[in-house]
Amino acid sequence: MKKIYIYIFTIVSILSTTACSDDYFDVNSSETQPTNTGLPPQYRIEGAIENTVATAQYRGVREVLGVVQYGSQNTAAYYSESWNTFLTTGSYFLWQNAYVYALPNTADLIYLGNEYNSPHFSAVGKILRAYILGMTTDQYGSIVLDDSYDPTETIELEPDFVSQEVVYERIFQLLDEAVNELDEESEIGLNDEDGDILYNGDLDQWKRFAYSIKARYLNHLTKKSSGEHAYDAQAVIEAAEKGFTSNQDNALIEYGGGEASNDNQPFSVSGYGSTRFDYFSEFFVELLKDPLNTNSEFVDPRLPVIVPEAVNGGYQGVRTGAGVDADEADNYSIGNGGFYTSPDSPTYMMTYSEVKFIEAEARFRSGDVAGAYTAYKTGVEADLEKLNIPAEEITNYLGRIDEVVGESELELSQIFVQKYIANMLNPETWVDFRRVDYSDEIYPGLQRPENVNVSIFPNDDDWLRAMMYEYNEEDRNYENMPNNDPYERLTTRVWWDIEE
Amino acid sequence: MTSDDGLSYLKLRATWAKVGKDAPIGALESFLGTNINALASSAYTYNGVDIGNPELEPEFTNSYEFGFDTRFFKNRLGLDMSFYYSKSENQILEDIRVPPSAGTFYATLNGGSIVNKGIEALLNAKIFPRNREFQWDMTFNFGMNQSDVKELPGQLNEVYLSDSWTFQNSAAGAAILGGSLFGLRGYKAVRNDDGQLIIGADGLPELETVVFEDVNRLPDWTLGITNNLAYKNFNLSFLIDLVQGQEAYNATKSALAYYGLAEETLDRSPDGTMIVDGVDAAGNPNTTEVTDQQYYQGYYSQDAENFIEDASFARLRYATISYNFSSDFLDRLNIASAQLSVTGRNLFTITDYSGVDPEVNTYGAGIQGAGSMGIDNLGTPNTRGFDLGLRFKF
Repeated sequence: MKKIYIYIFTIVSILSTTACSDDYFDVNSSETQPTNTGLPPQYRIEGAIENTVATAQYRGVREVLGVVQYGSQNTAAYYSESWNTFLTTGSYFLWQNAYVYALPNTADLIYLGNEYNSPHFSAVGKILRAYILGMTTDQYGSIVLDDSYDPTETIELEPDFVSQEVVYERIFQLLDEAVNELDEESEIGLNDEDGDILYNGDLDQWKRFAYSIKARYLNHLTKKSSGEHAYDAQAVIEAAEKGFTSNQDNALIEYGGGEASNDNQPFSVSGYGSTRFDYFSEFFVELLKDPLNTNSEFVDPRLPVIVPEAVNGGYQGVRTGAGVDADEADNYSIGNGGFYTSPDSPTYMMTYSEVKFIEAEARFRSGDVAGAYTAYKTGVEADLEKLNIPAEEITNYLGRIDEVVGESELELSQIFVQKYIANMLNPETWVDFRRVDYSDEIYPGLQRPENVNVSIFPNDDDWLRAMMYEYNEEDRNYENMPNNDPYERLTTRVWWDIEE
Repeated sequence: MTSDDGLSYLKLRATWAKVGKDAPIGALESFLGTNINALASSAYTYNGVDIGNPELEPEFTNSYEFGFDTRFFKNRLGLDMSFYYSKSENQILEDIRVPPSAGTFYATLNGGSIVNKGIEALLNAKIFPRNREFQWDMTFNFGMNQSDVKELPGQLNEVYLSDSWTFQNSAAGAAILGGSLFGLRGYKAVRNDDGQLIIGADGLPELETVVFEDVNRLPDWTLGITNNLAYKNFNLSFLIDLVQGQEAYNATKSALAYYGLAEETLDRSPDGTMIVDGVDAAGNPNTTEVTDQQYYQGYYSQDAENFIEDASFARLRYATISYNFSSDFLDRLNIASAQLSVTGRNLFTITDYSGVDPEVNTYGAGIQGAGSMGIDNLGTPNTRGFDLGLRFKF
C-alpha cells in the first residue's frame, strides 16, 4: 500500500510541476530580445531622440551642406555643391533615415505612452515626429504621412503621399496635442531611466521646445499672403514667446568624443561623416570676416571659434563647387575641428537664438521694428554666449551693432545673416535660403556655386528648390509618388515656397 | 495463359486536405537593437530590419489529389498514378520589398495565392517471370508539375526572392504574377520598335529591368528510369534521369564574361575599341566609341538575356555492378555473405547547357521562398565519381 502512495505522490507532483502554463503557446513573443511594443517607453525615449538627430538630421544637413554653402569639398563639382550626380539620381538618404530609422521610434513612443498611461511619452513622440516630418517635407514637398510605420498595423506596401500643406497641418496638430499631453498625469516619468537626454524630464522645457518648433513652422509661411495658411506674424510671435527663454532650453544632443563612432560628432575628424565637410566655404568665412556688412575691419569673434585656422595661417574658405588643388590645401580652413565639428561637439536641433531671430523676422514683417531689433540683438547675444565668447567681446559686438546698424537701419538681411551663422549645420538654413530666393541682398556675397549643373539649372537665377525622392522609393512606389524627374523635382518649389 | 493473367490489383484513392501554416516565429513583432549603425544611438531603437507584421494571418493550402494503384499479370506490371491540385491562399510572403517610407525595406505580408498542379506516375515492370535466372526490372518515374502565381499583395506583379541574387545583380529569381513561381527578372537591352539597340551617352546599350515572361526554371516534365538486371551472382542497376523544358540562368558565365574569361569575350577588335551597332534615343546611329572591356563589363555581362539557357538534360545518375560471392566459398571462411560492387555517379550528361552543370542550384535548400533552382551563380556542380564497395556479413 505504501508503495502506491509513493507512486501517486510522484505522479501528481510531476504533473503539477510540469503542467503547461497558459502562455506556453504564446510563442510569438521573444523572451530575450526586446520588441517594438514590448519594451516600456522609458527605455525607448533616448533612442527616439538620438535617432531623430544623429540619423535623420545628420543626413538632412549632410545633403545640403554645399547647397547652403556652409562647407566645400576638396573635389570640384561635388554633388551637393554643383547639384549633379547623387542629387539627380535620388541617391542620398535623408528619406530612408527619416522613415526607417527615425520616425518609427516616435510612432512607438506615442503608442507606448498610451499603453502605459504615460502621455508624456506620447507628447515627446509627437514633438520629435513633428520635427522629423517638418525637416523631411521641407526638402521634398509632398511626403508619406499616415502610411508610414505604425506599430499596430501591417507594413504598407504602397504608402500614399500627401501634400506639404497637409503635412504642415499635421505638424501643428501634433505640437498642440503634445503641449496638452504634457499637462496630463503620467504614470512613468520621462527621465525615470535617464533616457530624456534633451531635458532630463523637465516638462516645461519640452513645452517650450514644442512652441519653438511651432514658431519655426509658422514662420515658413512668409510667402503666403492669403488663404487659410496666410502668414500670421502675430501667431509666430506668440509661439516664439512661449518658446525657448534662454540657452538653457537649447535642444541638442551631446557627444562624448569616445572610441565608438556613434559617440562622435558626425562631422568631426573621428565621426561618421568626417569626410563630408572637407573645408569651410568661402561664403561662410567671408561672412564672418564682415558680419555686419560694413566693409570695415570688424571680424566676428566667432570666426576663430567655429573655423580652424589654415595650416599656412589665417582663415580662408573654399569657393563652393570649385574644389581645392592638393598643393593649395594648406591655405584653406579645414572643416573638422571647430566649435561645431570637434569630436565632442553637440548637434543642435534648435536654439534660443533661432527663436529670437524668428521673432525678430515676424516683428519686422509686422512693422514692429523696435521689437524686431531687440529680438535680433538678443539672438546675437545668445549665440555669442552659446559659443563662450568672452563677455567684453559680446558687449563690444552688441555696441558695434548699435553703432553700424541700429534700429533705424535694421533690415531682414541682418536678421538672416545672423541666423545663418547661428544655425551652422542645421538643415533649417536651406528653408531660409529658399524663402528669400537665395537673394544676395539678404545674404551679401552669396553666388551660385562653381560648376553648377547647367543642363538642369541653365540660368544664373536658377537655384535648387527641392530634392528628388530616393531611388528605392521610386523603384517600389512609383505609382503613388509625384513626378520624380530631376529636371522637374529639383527645380519645382515646395508648397510654402510658392507665393499666393 | 492462366486466369491470373490480367488485372491482379486495383486501388482507387482520393484525398482532400486543408493545411494551415502559421507565421514564422517572431514575425509579428519588430525587434529592437542597439548601435544598429555608426550613427545610431547606443540605446534601444527600432532597427529597421527585423520588422514584424502584427496583422499577419496564417496561410491555408487546399489540396486535392486523385489517383489509382493498379497491378497486372501477377503483379509483374504495376502503375501508380496521381493527379494533384493545390491552392495556397493568403500566402505568407517573406522578404517582400517595400518602399522605405513604409518603415523598412523588406516585410512579411499576407496576400499571395499560388496554384500547384501536376501528375505523378510510377510504372513498375518485371520483364521476365520470377523463375527465370535472368531478371530485368524497370521503374519509370514520371512527373509534371506547374506552379503558377495567381495573386500577389497590393499591386505587385512580381516577388523577388531576395536571396537568389546573382553576380552583379544582372538577374534574380522572382515569382511572377500570372506566371511561374520559378520565374526570372533581370536586365535586358532596350530596343526600339525596329529592334535596334538603344545606345546611351556612354556608348553602351541601355538596360532596363524586365520580367522574362517565358522563362520557367521548373521543368515541363521529368522522367527517371531505373533498371535493375540480375544474372546469377551478378547485378547491374542504373538510373537515367530525363529533365526537359526548363531554363537556367547562367550567372557563372556572366561573371566569366565580366572578367574576360568567357569564350565570347575572345571576340575582340584589333585596336581594342568598337562602336556598338545601335541608335541613340533620338534615332541617330551610334558613333560613341567604347573599349572592348567596357562593352563586356558594362554591357554584355549585365544583359541577362545573354545568359538564359535551355537547361534540359539527360543524365546517367548512377550505374552499379555488383557481384555476390557464392556461399560455398564463403562457408569455408565463416562469412555469411559478401558482395563486391562498383558504382559510377553522374557518368554522362547530355545537354545543350553551356555551363558546368544544368542541374545546379546555387543556394541549395536553405534559401527562403521558392528557392534558387536554375540559378547557376558560381555554384559547384554535381560531382562525378566512382565508388568501390566490399560488403561482408558474418
